[in-house]
Amino acid sequence: MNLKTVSQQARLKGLDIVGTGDIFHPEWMESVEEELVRVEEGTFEHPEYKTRFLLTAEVEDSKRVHHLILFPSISIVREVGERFMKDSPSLKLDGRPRLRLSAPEIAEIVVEQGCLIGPAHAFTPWTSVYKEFDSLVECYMDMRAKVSFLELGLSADTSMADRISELSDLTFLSNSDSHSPWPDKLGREFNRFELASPSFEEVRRAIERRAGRRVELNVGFDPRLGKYHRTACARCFKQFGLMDAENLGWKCDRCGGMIKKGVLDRINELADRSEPVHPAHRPPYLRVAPLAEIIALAVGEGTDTHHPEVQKVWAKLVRRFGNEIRVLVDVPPGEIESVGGSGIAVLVEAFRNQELKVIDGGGGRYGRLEVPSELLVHHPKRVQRRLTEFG
Amino acid sequence: MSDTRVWKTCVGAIVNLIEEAAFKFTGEGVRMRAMDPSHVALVDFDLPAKAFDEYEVSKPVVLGIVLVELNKIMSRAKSEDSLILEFEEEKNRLSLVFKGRSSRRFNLPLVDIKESELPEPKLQFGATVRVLGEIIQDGLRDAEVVGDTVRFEANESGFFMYSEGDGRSVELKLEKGSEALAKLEVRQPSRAMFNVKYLSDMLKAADMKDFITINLGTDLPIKLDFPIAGGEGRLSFILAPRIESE
Repeated sequence: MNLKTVSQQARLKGLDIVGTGDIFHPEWMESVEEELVRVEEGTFEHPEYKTRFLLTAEVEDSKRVHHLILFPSISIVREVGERFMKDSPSLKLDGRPRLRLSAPEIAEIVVEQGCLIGPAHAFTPWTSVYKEFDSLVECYMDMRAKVSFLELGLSADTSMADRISELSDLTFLSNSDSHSPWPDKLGREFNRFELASPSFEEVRRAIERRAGRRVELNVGFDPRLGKYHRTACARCFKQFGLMDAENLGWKCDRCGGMIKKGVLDRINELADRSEPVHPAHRPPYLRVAPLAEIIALAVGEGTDTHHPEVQKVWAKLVRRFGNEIRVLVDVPPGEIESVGGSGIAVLVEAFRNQELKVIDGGGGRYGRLEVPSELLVHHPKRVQRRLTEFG
Repeated sequence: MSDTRVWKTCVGAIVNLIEEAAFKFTGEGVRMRAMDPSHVALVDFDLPAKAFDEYEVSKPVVLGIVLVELNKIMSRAKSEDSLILEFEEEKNRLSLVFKGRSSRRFNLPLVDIKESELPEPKLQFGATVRVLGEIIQDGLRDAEVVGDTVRFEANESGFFMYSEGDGRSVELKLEKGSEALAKLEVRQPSRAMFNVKYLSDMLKAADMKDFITINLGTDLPIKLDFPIAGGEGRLSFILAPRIESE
């Protein structure tokens, strides 16, 4: 992972602003200061690719709940870091430091310094606010009012989260952390903001919904593709209904592994509404999947997103149409066909129409897309036969 | 067994095709046959008791193994290690002990997999060839440069691999009489096209200096046989072809 590659790939993906993540890590912070140009307080830019960066970090509290923090400046990162050091000797070693502090203590420290804070991947079963608490007030206590956003995580979307009334006042962020800079991982989820300029202050206004700034669109995974969508065994990934998992004492009847509660079931437990009620400020949520996955489906069975053929077609499409999101969302199928072939055009259109079959994720394994058999006749010139068709 | 490579390379090749498999341990040896979830490839693993330095199975047992987990464990084996496999029935787990300068024991929980009788497809192959592993590996690596499929062909004049994509193409020729072509038996000229990635995964099981037996028929599945454990055992793959629909 390096800032140059992230900047370059972000352009191809169609991202103008990226969070640095891990900003407490000294070497990463050094790279930010050396390789990027400070545009204004809290906003940095890559000199060549012009991708902008905001200073962000995820921290873990004493209950193993993760929080996302956005910082207004490098000096504030340092000040907050100094304070956290007292309760986290490993702060500078860990990308996502563990703090011996409660959520309200963390919130108080960072809010006092003008940072933004909210729960990270709020519904996931290992390290989220709702794995530990039944409400945000239980977690943040008197600092709840200072929480300005909630990160949905890959396994949930707006329609799921808006079944919980206590979240109505919060801005939802559809962020995804990226453990590699390539476009099938970078910006798997993102937000479209209405801003005067791409800067920390403008993003802050949008999150706080001030001065006409706002999140205009949440773009994220179909939550069924998220790796914690369904309740499932963390070892062998067998999926369970909530009742069955409870009856089994959360121990898999197949392999003895630990069953982890899926985001869907957790939200069903927390929901005080049978249907989502979207507050007036809530933007639409657009479901997407990595373009490389759709191309891999078109190339044929047995190919993954890193297959040279997939990478080649991906690069051709992005070069021609500017960025991945345009291909996924805007470009007419006829134009996609002229560059990438008919198989891909058919599948992108099917994806937009939600006609691709989704195999739900769970237990730590991502869901996946499959091509319904009625679409197979349209696409590959070379058809993969199955052994069951022979003798 | 003193040679951990057998398990290491075989599992390393199979794991890309199949997530979990039922290994049957009997007095005669270990067998496993499984098909990948998309029914494109079949794996047949056969390691007789004589391939082990010591082998003791008091009653036949079927062990359901998550191959990703087994592969992670096998990746920790060192070349000088010997391997001991022990089934602990009461704990429903397999112990793998690597014995080298130290003794390292991994415990792998087993999963419940129904052992199903998978018949091998009855195929009338037109040609049988035996080709040096290194040659096939070269052919597949060449093919990966230009496309995602590769055509295998055998006729009276030799064995050929051909791939094309985006105007580029590559051909590998192995003419009759070549030292790298130990057998060329052509009952009928045969050609079929396959997904390169599947074949590349399968070839991970091959020793490049060994000869691979290939059974081929026009637009039929291909069968690849690799000798393992110095020829005592056998790992076979059957892969369904791709066909041109236009």
